[in-house]
Amino acid sequence: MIHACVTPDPLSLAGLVERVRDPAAGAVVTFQGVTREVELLEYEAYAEMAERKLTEIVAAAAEAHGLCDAAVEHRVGEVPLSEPSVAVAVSAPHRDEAFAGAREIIDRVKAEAPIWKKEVEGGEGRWVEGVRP
Amino acid sequence: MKVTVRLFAMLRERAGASELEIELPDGARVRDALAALGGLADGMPLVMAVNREYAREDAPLGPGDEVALIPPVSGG
Repeated sequence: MIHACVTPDPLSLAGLVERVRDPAAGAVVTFQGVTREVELLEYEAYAEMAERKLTEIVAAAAEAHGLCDAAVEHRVGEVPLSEPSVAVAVSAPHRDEAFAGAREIIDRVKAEAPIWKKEVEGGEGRWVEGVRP
Repeated sequence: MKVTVRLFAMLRERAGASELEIELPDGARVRDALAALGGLADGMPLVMAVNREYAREDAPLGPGDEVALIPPVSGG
C-alpha cells in the first residue's frame, strides 16, 4: 500500500521500513536527505498538491520498477542540522529494482514536488535557489 | 468570476499574503490570472498550477478555481 505524506513531525525511517514490509520482498532500500552545513532549514510546501505529486511519483516508480511497496515522507517547518527532511523506503523482490526505484523517487521529488527550503543562519533566512518543475 | 490565488515561499513574502482572491472575466486563462497580479512575479521563472496540477499558461480557468504560482522548487 503506497504511502506519501508531508508532515511537520520528525521523520521515522523505522516507521517507513515497517510500511514497506512485504513477504515477496528480498530487498529494502531506504534513503534520507539530511540537513547539512546550516543551523537549520525551514521547509514550506503547497501541502495539498505536494501530497498528490508525491503519491503520483511513488505510484509511477512502483509500476515502472515492479516494486512490492514504496513510501515517501517530506518534513515541513524547521528541520535542524543533521535531521532528515525527506525519507524514502522501497521494497522489491531484488536489489536492482529496489535501488532504481528509490533513486527515481528521490530524484523526481526534488525536481517536481512544490516544496521550498530556506537556509537560516544567525536569524537570517535565504531561500535556496531551486529548479523549475 | 472569482478565482483563488495561492502564493508560496519568496512570492508569499513579497506579497505579504499566502492567498488572494481575484476577479477575472469569463473565459480567462492562466496567463490572465498572472497578469492580474501586476508585477508580483516579475523576473521569476514560474510554473503555474490549477486545482493542484501543473498547468500551461493557456489553460482555461473556471469560477472558484485554485491557481497557484509555483516558484522554482527546492525540496529534498
